[in-house]
Amino acid sequence: MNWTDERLTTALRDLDVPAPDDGFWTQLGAAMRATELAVVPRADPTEVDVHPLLEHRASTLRGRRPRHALLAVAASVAALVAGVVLLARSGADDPAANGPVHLAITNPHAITLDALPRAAPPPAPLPGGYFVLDHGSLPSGWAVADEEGLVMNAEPDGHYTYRATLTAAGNEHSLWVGNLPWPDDPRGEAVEINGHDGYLDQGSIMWRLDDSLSATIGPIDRDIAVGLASALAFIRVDAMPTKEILPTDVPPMSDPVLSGRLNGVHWSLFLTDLTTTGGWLYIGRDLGTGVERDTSPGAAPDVSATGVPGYGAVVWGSLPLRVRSVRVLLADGSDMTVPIARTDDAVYFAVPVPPGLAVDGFEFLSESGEPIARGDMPELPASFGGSTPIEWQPA
Amino acid sequence: MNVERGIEPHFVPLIDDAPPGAQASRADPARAAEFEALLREHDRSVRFVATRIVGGDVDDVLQAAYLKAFRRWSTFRGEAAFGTWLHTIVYRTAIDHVRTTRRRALLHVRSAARDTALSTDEAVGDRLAVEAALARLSVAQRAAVLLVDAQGMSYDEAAVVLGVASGTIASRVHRAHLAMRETLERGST
Repeated sequence: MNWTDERLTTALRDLDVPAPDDGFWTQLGAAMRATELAVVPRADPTEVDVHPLLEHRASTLRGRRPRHALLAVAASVAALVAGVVLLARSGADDPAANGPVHLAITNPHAITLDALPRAAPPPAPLPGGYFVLDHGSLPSGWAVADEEGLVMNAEPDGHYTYRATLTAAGNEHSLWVGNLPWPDDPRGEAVEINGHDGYLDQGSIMWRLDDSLSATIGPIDRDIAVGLASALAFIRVDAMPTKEILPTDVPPMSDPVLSGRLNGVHWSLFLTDLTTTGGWLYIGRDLGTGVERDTSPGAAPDVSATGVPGYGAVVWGSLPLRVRSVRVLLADGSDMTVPIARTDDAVYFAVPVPPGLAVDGFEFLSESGEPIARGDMPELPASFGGSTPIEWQPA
Repeated sequence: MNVERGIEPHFVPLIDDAPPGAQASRADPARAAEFEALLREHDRSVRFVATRIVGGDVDDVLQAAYLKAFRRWSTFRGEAAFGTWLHTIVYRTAIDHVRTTRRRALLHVRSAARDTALSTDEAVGDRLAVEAALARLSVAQRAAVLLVDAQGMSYDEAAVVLGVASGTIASRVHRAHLAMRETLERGST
């Protein structure tokens, strides 16, 4: 009997649902009653309100090195970037020549720093290079569909991973190699892979490669897991393989709240939950990444840098409502204010940082323009994508 | 089950950053009971999907997601159905769990394939085989096919839950069908 859509759907609908553990509801009820709530008057449904910045004040808050070249920067930005307005050069004594340049982007859908000069050296690769799959070790019938390097948490607590999609007989299997901590209590059947500890769980196998690195494959049939893991070899290379992304001007979904270009590629930020509880960032069309953004009243700010090898990173996140603008602090002393997206619950922002643009960090400003907090630009290792959190540092 | 392991419920201070008019308060027991009743209505549906994303950690993930939903309940304005809203929070929490415990949670596969051949009940055999085929899909494809085929959501509703375009849902469901059919038919020969 063939697997028709009807037979498939019927079987899917008939799948079991496990009962909750004993005490699940009792414990949940107790936790809910103990939870502090923000009681917020219910409001009528409203559209997300995007507020482009309309004004910007010249500021000399930070003592910065004067840079004549900044005038040229400003000119090139004004000429090349739609929606960018040169607003002020600060420095009361000699405003024409020496003051740092303050720029603002006012169009929430033309946020790009691509036109700024890029003088920063490329980020250094990790010492010792990267451990990646030796394609030649794949058994017959297996292939690599794509592979990339991902950072999940940059230094000092760095977790770096090589990810590859392996294909065989039309099925996809994910391979991960990285320095994530080895679990204290691994689940599954203990196995030995090339003299190292390994564990075969239902649907996945993980094994150590050395003291700091381990590998995981899943999903994988139990019958072939040990043989495959034993056959795979890994090599050290100078740079992670990069994943191609499709440059496009067509957003992957309609109505991004913020968008622009990153190193020539379109990026866009969406609020994907009708109750504005989350954001989803796309760089290009195919590479999307979303992170749960807890925007419940009182939630902590959540800022991270999401990078694509070769294209740079977008620093983005959700912020408290009292943040009214975000200022990008460039290493050469100038700064750039970018538009924000404001909802009932939170403020969202996104700043594309192309490769080679020297950014020191970000300031999150109050309505009066005073810094509420600051975040430092992380040093993302060369040839890595992925995301790394940015610490919210109250002023 | 213990909420202190697995995913830690994320309690947040409310003094700063609350919107105008917001006040911090302990949850009213009646309000908690009302929300729990809503959760019980929808638990089977969200548990159905979440189990197949996080496997044996489902109770911990649901505890964390339900508490998150409870804290946000005052901001739920009804643009989406409550079930869709809850599915969204549970799915995001499950995905976060998979990311943070990737090593263990790559997949939680039930080794049902061999059992299929032993089963004399065709419906039971189908379920076991489908369970095994589901486990071979990517999490994104699995979630799409469970929401659309098993839960009966429209592509638009599933798109809201998974945070992608409707067309992406259609594509994922189509690919999932192809992959599952290939697995199932190969397994039955």
